[in-house]
Amino acid sequence: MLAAAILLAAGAALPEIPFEKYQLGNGLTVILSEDHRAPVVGVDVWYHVGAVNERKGRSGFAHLFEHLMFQGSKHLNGDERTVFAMFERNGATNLNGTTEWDRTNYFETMPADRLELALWVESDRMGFLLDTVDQKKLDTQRDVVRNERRQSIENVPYGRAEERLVQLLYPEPNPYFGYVIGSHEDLQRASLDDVREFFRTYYAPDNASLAIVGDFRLAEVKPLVEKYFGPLPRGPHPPPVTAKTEPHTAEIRETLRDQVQLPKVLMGWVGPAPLQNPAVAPLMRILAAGKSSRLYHRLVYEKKIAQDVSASWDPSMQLGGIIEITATVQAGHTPEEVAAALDAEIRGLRDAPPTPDELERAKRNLRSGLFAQLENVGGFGGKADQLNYYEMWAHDPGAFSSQLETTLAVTPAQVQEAARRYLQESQRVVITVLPEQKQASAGGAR
Amino acid sequence: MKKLWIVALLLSCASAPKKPAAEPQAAAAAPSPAQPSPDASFRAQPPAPGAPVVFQAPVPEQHTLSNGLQVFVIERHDVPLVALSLAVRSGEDTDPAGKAGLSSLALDLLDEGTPARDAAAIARAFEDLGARYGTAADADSSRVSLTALADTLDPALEVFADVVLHPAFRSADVERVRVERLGQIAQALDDPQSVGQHVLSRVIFGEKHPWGYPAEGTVKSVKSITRKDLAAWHKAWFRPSNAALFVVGDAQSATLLPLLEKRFGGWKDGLAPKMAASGRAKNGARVVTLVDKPAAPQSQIWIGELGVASTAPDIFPVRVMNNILGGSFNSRLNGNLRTEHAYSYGVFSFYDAHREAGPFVAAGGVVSEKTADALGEFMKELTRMKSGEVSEAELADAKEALIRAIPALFASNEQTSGAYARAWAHGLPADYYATYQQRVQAVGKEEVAKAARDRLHPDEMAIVVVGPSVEIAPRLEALGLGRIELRDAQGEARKATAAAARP
Repeated sequence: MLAAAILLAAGAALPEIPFEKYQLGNGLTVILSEDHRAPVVGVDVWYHVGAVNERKGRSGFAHLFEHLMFQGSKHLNGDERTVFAMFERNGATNLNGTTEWDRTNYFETMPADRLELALWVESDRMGFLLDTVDQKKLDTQRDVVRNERRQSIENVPYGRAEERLVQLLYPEPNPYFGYVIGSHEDLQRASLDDVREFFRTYYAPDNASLAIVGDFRLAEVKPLVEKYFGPLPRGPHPPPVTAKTEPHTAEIRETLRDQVQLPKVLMGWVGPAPLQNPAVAPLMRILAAGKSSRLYHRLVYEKKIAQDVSASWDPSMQLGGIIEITATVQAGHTPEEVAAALDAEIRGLRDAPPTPDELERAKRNLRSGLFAQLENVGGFGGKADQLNYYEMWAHDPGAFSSQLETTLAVTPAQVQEAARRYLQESQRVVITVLPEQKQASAGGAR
Repeated sequence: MKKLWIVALLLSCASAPKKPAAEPQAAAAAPSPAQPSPDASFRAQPPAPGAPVVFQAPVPEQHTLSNGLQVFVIERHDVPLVALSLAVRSGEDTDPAGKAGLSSLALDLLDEGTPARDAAAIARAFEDLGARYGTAADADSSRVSLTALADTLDPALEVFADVVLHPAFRSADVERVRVERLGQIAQALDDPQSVGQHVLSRVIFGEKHPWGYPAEGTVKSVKSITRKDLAAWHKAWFRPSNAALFVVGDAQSATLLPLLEKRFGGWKDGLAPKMAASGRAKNGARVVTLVDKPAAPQSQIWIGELGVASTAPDIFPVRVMNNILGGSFNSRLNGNLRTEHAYSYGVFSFYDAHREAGPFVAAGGVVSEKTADALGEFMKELTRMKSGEVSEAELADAKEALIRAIPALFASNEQTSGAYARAWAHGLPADYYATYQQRVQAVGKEEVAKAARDRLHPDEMAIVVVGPSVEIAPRLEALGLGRIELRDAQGEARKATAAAARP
């Protein structure tokens, strides 16, 4: 068959990332990868700390702390304007910091001749943050973060439902309960003492990895890395994460009201931890990636009962990555109708394996998506992030390639097995969002 | 779903840092006696740059197919991917009166069916080939893009050309996509940020100009669009002489051009239809437009006016000026509203420049109880900027930021083809990126001052606030910036309920 021939031909190339990894005397893991396509260098520091390390009453702290890492340090004294100005006037792009459930990172893509500047800033905040942090900076960033919370959850359609789904899947005292952003109350409680303790516990070279990817020469950069990071002292061993996610044995259902016109159904499960099950990513794509996916084809294209569908698994949560399947209800239809259609499609994958064609398509798109991500040396999900991810979870940046091979070898039976294991109705949380106003159900504007 | 919480909403900028009280060195962070001190004199100053990077933006090879279609090619063989972008110099500006959303709906429908394939077959064909297909509806252009694996470029191109050249606009598909579009509009009306943006466009451009409406259209306009409208729009504007194709990646011109000729060479040209000139509303006395979002914890503030065209003689001074004002993290607006006052997670400003002048916008979300204070600070910064006073440091930082960020525009094949396609659609010369750094470098302080004085009119700028009107209206009125006028989320006047917001 022609289709099969094409599949085979296109299946030849696999994305790869050559790299060299080593450790400094203080335990900092360094991952270097030359890439001379453009005169830029991505610098990306991952600290192995996130919401998972927050203690009770301090939800949102890991992310609040991330903001403080942009407020200057001993030799770059000032506030966030000083830090951003230093980067921006030197041409940094893709400049940001992100906090997730289990890790926090800081990254910038520099013009190749300004790489050393990034090492200077990153080592200064790794070694000398506490010299300049103060109450005013904490208070300002607390308010900025509370605004981020308002803007990203409280004032966007369905935002509170997303947060509630996480709270129900990971009930207190699970550290994921705080949804990384945390509650206003807990953010208000954060003190300078908390900042100092958190920094001393988690922001040490031996709890971090530094990836540098781009237009540089290994031999020139290694001495610079040693110069800036080598003298920084080791930290204490951070306390191990002892929290566990309790398995769900009975379905939980909730209904929320929001200022929206279209109802929405959100289903959540606790899925596998990173690298635990290679069939889950293809399973999600078979469900909802692209117009030929099962949920899109059935609910949006054929039955026309959903406005949009999604299915995702978060591959970065050691206490079990959230699996989320959602559908926005089309005007003139009901959440019950949509939930029943979702149930039928999910049941279909529990009861029978996907077709080989479907699975091939899913793998092909995973692969071409990766190629596209790897076009960027830094930034969100670029090469530097990939190397750091596999270093964190597999202690080997090269697991990028082996994991990809494992995923591409997944069989239809493994996908069905993953659906059976992770997508049972008894293990899930279902949230239905209904319009707040009393007006005639969906599509008030029609 | 992946949840990321990040430090910066976008790139923006700042002012003179206050000297914070130094905290005592933390005991646990102090070095143990056995180790060398982590501090050293080399840390006191930022390191000097290395040998300067000479960056030359790639210059595309230019070709012409037998039907006149221009093709621009940049070969890059580092990854086995090819990115294509077909740009058409017609977009939202060609939406007829009452048919807002026509151009973007037509774009959406390209891959929903051709005489040879139905929507499912098209989706499956691209997905089987590992190809990614997408469209972008812009103010005065449309782009259709494809990223394909190099070894399956030809079969991917066949489907791509079928979709671009032969959309069927079948009734069943039109109706299905129309329902989806109405759903998208409903969702946008629930989102205060897009409401702010859309209502601001309406106030700036008025109800007689296509840019006074959201690109996706309104409930009313989308309901009125027929399949005949869609087919006519496609026939009128998708013509080789109104389009150009940009190809970047792992392909060689010698083999690529015959492929393109095979797929696009038969595309027939035609005459451009006459367009009625669209009039922009004449502004009367400035009002403060308020869209009620009951009990919202944040207000969205959107301020703007008519901006500049992409080919305006002062476009580079304007870009430098905007970088200082609100175009970077380290900008005056963000420094004031976020870093100084902590009213916001982040605010910004931009010039949306097209072949004709698009809007200038300054905007952001602020905590509701500080809405009036925050709006006051926005106006203060706009007025200060208009005075033209710019420090040497601000000028140097802005120019460096603009110049040094250019290489990153060409990091990937998709970014590169997109950048050139947009530049072409905006009527910019082929050497735009090759001369960009030089033109920014040439901008002086007086030119920035003049751009600020000429282009910014804070006293006349439209102001839109989306927030809890009962709580914020009295203090907004007290600012004295103009009469408060209530509109709904679609930008239509709400006279009947205007009284409700009054104290």
